[in-house]
Parts: sequence; C-alpha cells; structure tokens
Amino acid sequence: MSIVFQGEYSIHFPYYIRLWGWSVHPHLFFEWLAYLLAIGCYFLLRRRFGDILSASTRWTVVVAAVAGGAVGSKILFWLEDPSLTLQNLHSPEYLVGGKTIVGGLIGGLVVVELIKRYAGVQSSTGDLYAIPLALGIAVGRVGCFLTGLSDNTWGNPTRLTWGIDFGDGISRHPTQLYEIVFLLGLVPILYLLVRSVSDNDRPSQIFVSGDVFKFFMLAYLSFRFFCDFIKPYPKVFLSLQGIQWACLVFLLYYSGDVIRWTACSRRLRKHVGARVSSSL
Amino acid sequence: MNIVFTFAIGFAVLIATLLFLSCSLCAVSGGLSGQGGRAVPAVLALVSLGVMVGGVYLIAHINRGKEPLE
Repeated sequence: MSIVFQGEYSIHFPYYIRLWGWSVHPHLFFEWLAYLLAIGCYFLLRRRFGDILSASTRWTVVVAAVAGGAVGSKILFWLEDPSLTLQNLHSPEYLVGGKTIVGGLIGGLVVVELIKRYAGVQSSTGDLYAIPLALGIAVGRVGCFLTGLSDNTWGNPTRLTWGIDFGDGISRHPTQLYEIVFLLGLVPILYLLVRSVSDNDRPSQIFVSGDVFKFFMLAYLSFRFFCDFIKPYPKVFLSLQGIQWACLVFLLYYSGDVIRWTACSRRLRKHVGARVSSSL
Repeated sequence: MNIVFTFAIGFAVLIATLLFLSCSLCAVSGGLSGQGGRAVPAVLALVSLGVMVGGVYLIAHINRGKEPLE
C-alpha cells in the first residue's frame, strides 16, 4: 500500500492531509485548494491585464462556466463507461458520484457559448480563464495522485523506472504526474500569449482576443487524447475511450483556428522575408 | 439594481455548484457521517443542480442585451 523513496520515505495511498489535527481526504483537500488558487489567479490576471467585459457580464459568464463545468464533468463521466452507467441508472450515488475534467471544460464552454448567444454577448470571454484553469487542474491532480487506486486516474502497468505502485503491487504510469508536468509547462506559454493579446501598443499579429483560451483547450485536449491511450478505461468505439472521443470532437471544433494561426504565421514569415530581402 | 440581482443570483449559483460537487463526493464516500446515508447527499446534489440551471437562466435573462455588440 505504499511507495518508498530511497528506502527512507514512503507514501501510503490514499495519503490523508493532516490539517489542525484533522485528517482530510487528499482529493477533497486539493480540489478545494485548486478552486481557491484558480479564483485567486483569475483576479490577479484581471487586475494585471484588465477586462473587456462589464462586471455584470463577466459575472454572468463566470457563473455559466462554473455551473456548466460542474454539469459537463458529470455527463462525460456517464459516457466514459456507458454500459456501467446503464447498469447504475437506478443508483443516484453513481449518477452524481464521478466527474471528469475534460467534461468540465467542455460543459463550461458549451454553456458559456449558449448563455452568450442568449444574452447577446459577442466579445471573446475566455482568455483570463486559461492560466487559472491550467494551475487549478495541476493542483487538483495532486489530489488524484495522492488518492491512489480508488481515484481511477492512474495509467496502465509499466516497467519504466518511474512507474508507481498505488497499493496493488502493480507498477503503473503515474498519468496524474504527467498531466501536472504538462500543465505547469503550459502556464508560461499561456502567460506570454495573454500578455501579447492584451498589449495594445504592440498587438499580436497571429493571436487575437479569445485565442489564449482556444490555445489552452487545444493543448489540453490534445494531451488528454494521447495520454488516455495509456489509461485502462473501456473503449467505447473504434478503440477509443469516451473521453478521447470528446477530445477529438472538440479538437475538430477548434481546427479552423489552427488553420487560421498557421496561415497567419506563414503570411507573417513571408512578409518579414520580403522586407529583409528588399533591405539587402 | 440589475447588477445587485446578478451578483446575488451568481453567488447562489456558485454556492449551489459547490454543494453539488461536495454532495457528489459525499454520495460516493458514504455521506458525511460515514454511516452510509448516501441517498441524502444524492438528493441534495439534484436539488442544487436545479438551483444551478434556474440561476444561470435567470442571470442570463437579466443581462440579456446589456453588453454592447462589437
């Protein structure tokens, strides 16, 4: 039930967090820490880069994103293993029990777009959420990792040296840690993008308002699509899991933006090349 | 006045969302008391879901057409 570091330190899963004499479940602790960190980070970014939306419209969008995210995270959880969901249709505990991050992101996106259309908001609204989401998911994944086997977020068995035994004697891919490393690497890139999109003096020639959130979604959904190949979830169709299908659909949804960015960057390179050759 | 309603309903939706997520965890882990009782958090989760859906619709309705179009 433990992993041992150099014969000295060991972690038992689930690793309960000691807090003022209380033992708090790691998932609960890190999930709430992630929410608080994401909210704090959002307010810092809003103060640093400003906001194109009025306070009430921003609040409407935030509320829609949070509520949509919560519902979406449940719906994709049901689709993750449709046969198990069908078996548990009578069980409210199962139906409200699990949740998935990809479902949360997609649910938030869909509800925000619906609400924006209903309320007549045409501005892009997601750029300020990209970094808080990346940080929040990374912190939340620490809770998933420390929960161990019961969290069902670990990877397939592996013989790699960094494989981790979550308590059943089998060394597995610590996919939660892969995700944390990926997201922490993504944060500086997102910061540079937010800065370049918000810079009115030298506006980005490739990315426009709304593209930072799209870039985050593309990066995260691509990561999850490939990472989930090393997770033991049931395949629902054509050897892909439910979450991978959701990732694929929304990667296609954003494919137009990738084409636009590629075309812009090609035009920009051509333009710069022409200016350099004319000055020589 | 609309902005006050917007913030008030927004807070209600956020609290309902947190309740929804927390109740989900309790429903799975056997309730806060740890003595079973999974049905209560499950029902609470469904009630908070109703508050979330209604609140989001209401808040969008209040702010309909308020943002200047680009």
